[in-house]
Amino acid sequence: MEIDIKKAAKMIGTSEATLRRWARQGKIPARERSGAYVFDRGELAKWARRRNLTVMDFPFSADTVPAIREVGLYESMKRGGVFLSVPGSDVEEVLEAASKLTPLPNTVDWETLLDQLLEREQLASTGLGHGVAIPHPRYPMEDIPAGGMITTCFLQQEVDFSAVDGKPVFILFLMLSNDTKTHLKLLSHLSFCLRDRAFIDFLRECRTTEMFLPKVKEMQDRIKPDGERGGS
Amino acid sequence: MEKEEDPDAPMSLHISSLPRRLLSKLDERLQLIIVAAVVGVAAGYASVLMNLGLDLAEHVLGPLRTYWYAPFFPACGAALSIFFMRNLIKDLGGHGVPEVIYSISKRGGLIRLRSSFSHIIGCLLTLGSGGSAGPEAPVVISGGSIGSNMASKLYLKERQRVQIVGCGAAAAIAAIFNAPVTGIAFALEAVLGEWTVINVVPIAIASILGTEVSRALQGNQIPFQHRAFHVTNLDLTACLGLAFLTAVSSVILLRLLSYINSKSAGWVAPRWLRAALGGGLVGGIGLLVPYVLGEGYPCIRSVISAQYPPGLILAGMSVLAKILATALTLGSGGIGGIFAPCLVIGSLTGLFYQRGLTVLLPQIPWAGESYFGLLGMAGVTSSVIQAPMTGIFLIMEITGGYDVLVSVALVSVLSATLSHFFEPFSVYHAELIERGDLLRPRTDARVLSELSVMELLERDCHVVHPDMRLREFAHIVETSHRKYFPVEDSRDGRFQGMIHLDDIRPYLFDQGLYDSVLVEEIMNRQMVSVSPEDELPDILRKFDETHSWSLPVVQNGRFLGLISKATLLDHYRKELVAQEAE
Amino acid sequence: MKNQLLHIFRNTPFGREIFLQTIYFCKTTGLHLKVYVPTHPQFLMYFANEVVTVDLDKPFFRSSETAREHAKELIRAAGVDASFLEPKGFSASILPDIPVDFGVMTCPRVISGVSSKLHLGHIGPNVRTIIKNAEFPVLIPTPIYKEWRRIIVFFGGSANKIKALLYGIHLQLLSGNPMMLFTYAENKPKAYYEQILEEHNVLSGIKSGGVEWLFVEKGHFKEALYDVPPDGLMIAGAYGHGLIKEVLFGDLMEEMHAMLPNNVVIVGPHYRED
Repeated sequence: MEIDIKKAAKMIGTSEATLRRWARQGKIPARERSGAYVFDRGELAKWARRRNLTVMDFPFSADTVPAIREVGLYESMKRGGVFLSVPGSDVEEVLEAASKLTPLPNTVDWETLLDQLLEREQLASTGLGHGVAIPHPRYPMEDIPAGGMITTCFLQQEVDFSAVDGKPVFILFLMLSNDTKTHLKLLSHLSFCLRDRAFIDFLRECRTTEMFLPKVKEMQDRIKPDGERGGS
Repeated sequence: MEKEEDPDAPMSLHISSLPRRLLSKLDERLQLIIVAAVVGVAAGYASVLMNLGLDLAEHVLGPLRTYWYAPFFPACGAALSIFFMRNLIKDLGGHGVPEVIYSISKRGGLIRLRSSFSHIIGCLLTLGSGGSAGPEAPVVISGGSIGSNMASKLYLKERQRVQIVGCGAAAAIAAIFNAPVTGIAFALEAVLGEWTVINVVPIAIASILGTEVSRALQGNQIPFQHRAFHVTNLDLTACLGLAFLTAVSSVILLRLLSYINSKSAGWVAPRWLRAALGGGLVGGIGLLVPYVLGEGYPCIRSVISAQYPPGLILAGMSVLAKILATALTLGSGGIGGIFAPCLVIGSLTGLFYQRGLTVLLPQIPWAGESYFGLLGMAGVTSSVIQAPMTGIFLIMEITGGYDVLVSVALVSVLSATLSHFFEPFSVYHAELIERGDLLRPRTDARVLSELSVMELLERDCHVVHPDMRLREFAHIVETSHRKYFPVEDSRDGRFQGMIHLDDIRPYLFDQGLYDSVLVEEIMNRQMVSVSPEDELPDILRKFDETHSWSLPVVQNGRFLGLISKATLLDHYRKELVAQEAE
Repeated sequence: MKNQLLHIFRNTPFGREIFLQTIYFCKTTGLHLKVYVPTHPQFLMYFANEVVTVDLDKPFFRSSETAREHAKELIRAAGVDASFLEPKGFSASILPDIPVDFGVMTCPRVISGVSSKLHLGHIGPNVRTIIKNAEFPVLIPTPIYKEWRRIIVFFGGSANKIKALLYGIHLQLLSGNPMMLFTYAENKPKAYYEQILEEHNVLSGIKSGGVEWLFVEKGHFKEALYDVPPDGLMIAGAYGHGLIKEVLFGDLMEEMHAMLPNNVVIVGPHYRED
């Protein structure tokens, strides 16, 4: 199969310029086609293997490029659900209540989740300050849908979470994801939103679930892609 | 009473190291030349010994070869040689020349002392009784072993020891064929694999001395005679056909040998029985075609002097018979080399071709049998051993002239090229290459094999713990110059994973996360790691597969340090430069 | 790897005893145990200046699967840090190359051979050659499992004996077991030996560490041996002699070996600390 110099360079793991030089010097088997170098994939693979070079054999069709789902706060919060007046007078109780509310996949039960949440809570408090807490399991859980899930729980009464600023917590964002990267991204986006005082005030006053999600979408749109931050 | 020893030099020992003390006073090159000379003479004697033994065997068994019980001789001889090698001497090594090449390639020229005589005796038993193999390989490994052990005892450095082994090999071939230049070519081309100036002088000396010893004591095996060859353009054209035919002979030989080698263990399990049967079969063939037995120099002589029994069919059958006999002898475990059989098969192939031409196109005055015989020898040698220079020089030294230079070169190169399609590797290299053990100097494989993980280890890493908060970690990052941070459990010190700065850069400056993110939440647990015992080619593959520039070195769950491509480059280049001959 | 001990496993009851000794040694010193279960009747060790062929007798390499199982059981029972050695280099298809960059190696008194020579003092030729060439010391355990609680360095004063002392100090650090010196004087006064220790900067350490020094004058050697504690690990140095004389140990050595029931570590002429 014939491939162009771009794909060939990727295959051998070197730059196009180097490949062009090798072709010119006769170090690598190549053919010229209307002024550009082309390579035979099989020949190239053999050449590389003979010299103990790793061949990066990419599947060269566009449709096999895996779809990268954009990690979004709004989507994950939508997935996780928003709940008001979540009961509980201490950390354990509210976490238990939250665990029961979260729409978990079939393979995970709320008791397991609760254990993991408590384990993590013991290592270090998830109270970020300003009355917000972000409980999450100690280890990422499989079977959580890609892009993660955040269950928002407005607490019935404020609970002491031993947060950094000592203030009691009024809202929980229970964060679930299936890998570290997703978790960090969500956390980072959330943290960005929480830096805005206005948003915190909004949260304190929010009374209905309908108000909540659109506001989140608005905040999210302010976050440029690749985590570049706008405003603030 | 134990002697008091110089506490600073544990090496300077007993008085019998006088030769070493004397030697160490001289310039390094002179040292090498002297040792090369000694080795040359020693290898010369080894070859004389071999030839005398063969002559004796011929003398005793020769007249008996026409009797019906003659096949028992090679059968017994082969079985005895196996018994001798494996049970008596316990030399379980493989065949001669690959062992020498392996030792040069990977073991700094170290060869066991027992190999200096075991192969010779084993070969005498196999060949003297009639087996079809060559006496060269045993003499090569003898010469190599003598050289190697002499070099070790004199505490020469590794590089010098390798050269001395080459000297031993050169002297051995030179002595057997009475052809000094051939010896040099063989050592450089087939054994050492590099033609550098620093190698040539000691090798040449060893080669010449070996030849002299051999000439003084026994005379020529393949007599030199300056022959005048009248070569016409038609003959040159005919060379093309000959090259094709020699390539065919070579490939058949190699394939058959490999087949018998790999299958015979399954057919007959006990090694001595296998060898005996092989020998017996060869003996049987010998009853029909007596020239097939032994190393075959009489056969070569008769072809060159155009005295081989007449007949086209006979010639053709002789070729096949010799191929079969050689494959049987060597494939069933007999001790011997393949060089001489190549010459015999080549000469017979040439003979067959010449007779064929004479039959097909009788009106053309083709060049004689000896001409084509010689060319055939060059062709088959080239193809099987893949040492065209050796073949060319051999023929030239035998004929004592340049008349046939063009033809020889033509056949050699063409034959080698044709057979290359089917058998790309020399018979000496094939098994080594399969094991990844053929490492020629200054090749990538060689450089990589010399480097070790411990040499490349970078220890100046800042270790962090899983329960550390992002705040503390950020502080560490501030003061460190590294991009990778290993994570070790704070209780038992076991390696847990790595943090790569690039992965967490976006979050590193987010103050809001500083107290709510732990190191264990941002580290990469599925780290591909490297063990100190890993070989570099595998490590490079891991680099490529993970697209990373640094990998952790972990042993028994303990983090030892990092290995990075950047440091590897630095060491690689320095290694290559250090390997360069002056 | 310098933090590893090489053990060639022999699948017999005696082999088991020796393996237990090795396991004990590793546990006490914290070294990693590398076990080679042979599958071929020979192996090669390529040292800097010699390639040693070790011929193994049948009990070493027959039934290697059961051998592995036995080894694994013993390792598991002891809970020691261990792994199996898979040779990567081969000089020929049935000749594995065993690496030589270990910290220490266990050898029985005789690796191959004629069992009639198995009287206590004798150390087989294979083992001698290994000791002569290796950069690591060789542990020769007693035939029956026996723990050691202290280290006895045989300090005789010449070059290789100081190596024994250095190794003894190294072992003391690793194991935490106390060390003592044993010197057979051979006409020289104690001051002479102290001088040597001084030259190597260990005298003060020995004196201040309260290291016991059993100093024996000539003539009382054999009687003195009786006083050597049987629960100690003996560390002795060995000489190399030149091309012709293969005698590695003096007569004294063989006598000691014949008479003392201790585990022995022999430090050869090429031993390197780093």
